[in-house]
Amino acid sequence: MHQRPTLAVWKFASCDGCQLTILNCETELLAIADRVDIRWFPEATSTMIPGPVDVSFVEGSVTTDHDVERIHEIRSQSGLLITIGACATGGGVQALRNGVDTGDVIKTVYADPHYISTLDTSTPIASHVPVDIELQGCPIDKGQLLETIAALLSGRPPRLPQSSVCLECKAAAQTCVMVAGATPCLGPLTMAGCGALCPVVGRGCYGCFGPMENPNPAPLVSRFEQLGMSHGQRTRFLRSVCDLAGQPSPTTGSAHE
Amino acid sequence: MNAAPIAQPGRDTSGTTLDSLLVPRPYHVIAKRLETHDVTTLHVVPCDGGRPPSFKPAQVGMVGAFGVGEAALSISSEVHQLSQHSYTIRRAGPITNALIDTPIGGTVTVRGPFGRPWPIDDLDGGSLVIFGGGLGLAPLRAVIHEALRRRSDFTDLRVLIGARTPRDLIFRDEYAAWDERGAHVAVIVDNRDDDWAGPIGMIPDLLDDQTRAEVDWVTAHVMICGPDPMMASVSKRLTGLGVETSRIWWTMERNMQCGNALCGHCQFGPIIVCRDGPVVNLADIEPYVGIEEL
Amino acid sequence: MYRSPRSFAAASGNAMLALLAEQGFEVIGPRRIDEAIVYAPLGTFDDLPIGVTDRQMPGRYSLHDSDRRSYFDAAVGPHSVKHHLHPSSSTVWDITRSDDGALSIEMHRPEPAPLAVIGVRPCDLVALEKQDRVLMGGPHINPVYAANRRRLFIVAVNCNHPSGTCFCTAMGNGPTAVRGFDILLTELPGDEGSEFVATAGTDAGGRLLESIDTDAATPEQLERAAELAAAAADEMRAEVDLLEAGTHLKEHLDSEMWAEIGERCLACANCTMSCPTCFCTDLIDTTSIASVSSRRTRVWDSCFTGSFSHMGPGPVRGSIGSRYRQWLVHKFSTWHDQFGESGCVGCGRCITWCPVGIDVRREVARISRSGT
Repeated sequence: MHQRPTLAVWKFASCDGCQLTILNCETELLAIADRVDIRWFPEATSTMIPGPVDVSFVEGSVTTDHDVERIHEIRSQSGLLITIGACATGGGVQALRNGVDTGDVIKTVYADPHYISTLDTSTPIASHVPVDIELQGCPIDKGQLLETIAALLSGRPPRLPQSSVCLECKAAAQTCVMVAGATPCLGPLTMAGCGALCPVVGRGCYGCFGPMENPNPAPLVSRFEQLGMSHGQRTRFLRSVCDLAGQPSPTTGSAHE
Repeated sequence: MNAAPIAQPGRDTSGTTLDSLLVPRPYHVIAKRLETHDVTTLHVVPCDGGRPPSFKPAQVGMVGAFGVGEAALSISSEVHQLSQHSYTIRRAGPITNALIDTPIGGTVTVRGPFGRPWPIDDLDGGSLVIFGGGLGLAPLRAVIHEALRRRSDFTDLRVLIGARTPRDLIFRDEYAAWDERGAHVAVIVDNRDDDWAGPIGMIPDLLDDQTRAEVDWVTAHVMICGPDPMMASVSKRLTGLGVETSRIWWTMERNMQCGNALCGHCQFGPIIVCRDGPVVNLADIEPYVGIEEL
Repeated sequence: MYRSPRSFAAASGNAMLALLAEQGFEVIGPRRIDEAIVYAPLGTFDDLPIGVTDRQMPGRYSLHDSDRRSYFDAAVGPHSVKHHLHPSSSTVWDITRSDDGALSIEMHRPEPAPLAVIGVRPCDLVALEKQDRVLMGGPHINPVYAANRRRLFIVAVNCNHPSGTCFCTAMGNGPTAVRGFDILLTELPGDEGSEFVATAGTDAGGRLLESIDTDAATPEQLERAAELAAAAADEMRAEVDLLEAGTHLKEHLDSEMWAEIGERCLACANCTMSCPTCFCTDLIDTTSIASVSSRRTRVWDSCFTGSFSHMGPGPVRGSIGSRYRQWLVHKFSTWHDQFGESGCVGCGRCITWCPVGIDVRREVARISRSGT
């Protein structure tokens, strides 16, 4: 057996939920540990091991000057850089502050605002350094994580569908919550991968996997208006965890060669 | 669902024959030949010691790399080469990279052959003109050899080859032998390099005054394989010379996945490419040629 | 075996279900689950959505109390029998690689338990026939579909109340079934509860009818069944023969209307997923963490995804308009070239379950009439 590839997990502005998804791979963790050498994982330790790694998983968004320096350093030390979760791929819920006065926000939130040092924006990792693979979601999907690790170990690209959540929802024989329940749902704009987690329990999708391959928001926004959502509600809905009114991810097709 | 292990491909344990074209058969890579910087020919033989299935020119094998997936590839060996098949592959993504990088002695899988071949068995003599653009010569190699074998059936045999640069020409060392055996071979490139003394231009430019005058276009059958725009521009020139579209055949390429007309991916208008192609008669697809995003 | 129509009341329907279960069939039928009528395990006729009817419009579906205590007053729900025949995910094969690189291949051969489906509508029977032709009518057969098909027992029900999106008659089908069932029922609602007229379509259906308590259907019952069918057909009065109009779509590939529809369409694929005849699948190869085994899975795919037409640098069909054109032209027009018939049965699911209510009836009619 050749030397096991080395792997590191890095945290930026985030809730650690995506790192927990890695730990939640309970039954598969042993098989993974058998095949990769996990060098750095902040859920377990707080010392930074110098030196390059084959694969870096990066959780969280860039929100401070120090983050900017750190992500460049990590990029330079990493063979493949894989961002995990809505914060790393889209800026996360903390990106709601983008476009408003950060000073006002800090004063509203913190009793002693002078301790806070932050950038005006929360930005995805790909805004700062090249990213090789993006795993979407808040948090990421365990199945997609395992597929990505299995793919890397087999020397193939991971299968990460770029189509809408609706495909997974219908495949699961779920009744559409919007058509049958008049519940606003972002599934038609949102990238698949979660298994239609929210619609399956009767809730509308809130778009945490980010935009699908070719989203067309305008007709769906009109539909939300018919369902009684105000302009403000619609705007907030489309820009809660991920900005679904913004630019779609680039297409990465599979299959035919 | 129950998994029934099968003793040999094509059979299931209950004794009923499983559609053998659905079952991948392991093949050893016994030789590799670098055709160009990004094109390699794999020579393969079945791992089970048997012969590969017989096929007709342009028929397609679904060639699989373990865990990565399958690519639809025309068999590039001669139909009378019974002990092995060859596939001529360009690096175009993870699957083709994995296939090309399979070491000699390594294993790939093959399903097939599938699809409609070049109609060489159905031609009524006359002249046969073959156009191959770039890697498009690979699905034509078997029919060129077959035409040479039956050379006396045709009044004239032309093989007109084009590529972006001389470095992109495949099977280059065979052209002289084809010519000696009675095919008029002409080659053109879009861009020259240092050692190129031949003509420069696009494939339709090979239809120069002399060629146009020499070939009996009324009796001509034409087989074309290359990128869609190349096939369209060649066909336009030919119909201008009086060739009926029903005497022109193309190979179509679409996102072929199952090879069995069951998955729906390789549709081109009314055509299901893996079932009704890859070789299609131009008269059948003419209304759909040139329509954007079809 | 009964050759002529029989009639029975709900109690005999219960006996029929019990007999099927006794013979090893899993029995499913239309049931109210949350906000919709979907196929679910059925014990007795009391499990059916008694007194429930539906309202369907483009992009809208809702259930309402009916003024009658009928068993089959709701039209087709979101899901067709396709889920049980052509499942959204199925294993094709497993390949294991030994240390010396040799591959051993294990094809998956499904052996599904017998399934009886109660309340299949005439449109969905025609859809089954169309999927039969695609998935087991050619030289190659989808083994999962074929196995599921062989184990199927169908009790169909004629439609008395089409929904607002039903258009089977405009496609030359329905609202009554002519073939493809083991038993066909027509519900005759009445103050004393419904009666059913039953016709056997197969020997198995005939034997089942013989095993339960029935009477010969009376001329009055047969006349009432015919009246209900005529009334249902009347409810769907179509202004355009969509079966005929649809064949012309392939003559309008250059129409500007496709791009215009592309602006309204979400490319979410709900229409294709809910369509009872859409059969497209993707083949996905995955590997284990240990990289010693690989599995191929067949999953539903849609012509609305980018990966569907991916070739070389990207999708052949990049724009939403071109994807919508592929779906509509294939369904109504080039399906004829490929399989000798239309791909649409007029069930209306693609209209109801389109989140933004795009109506194929309108689009087929206006594109086929357009000047391009």
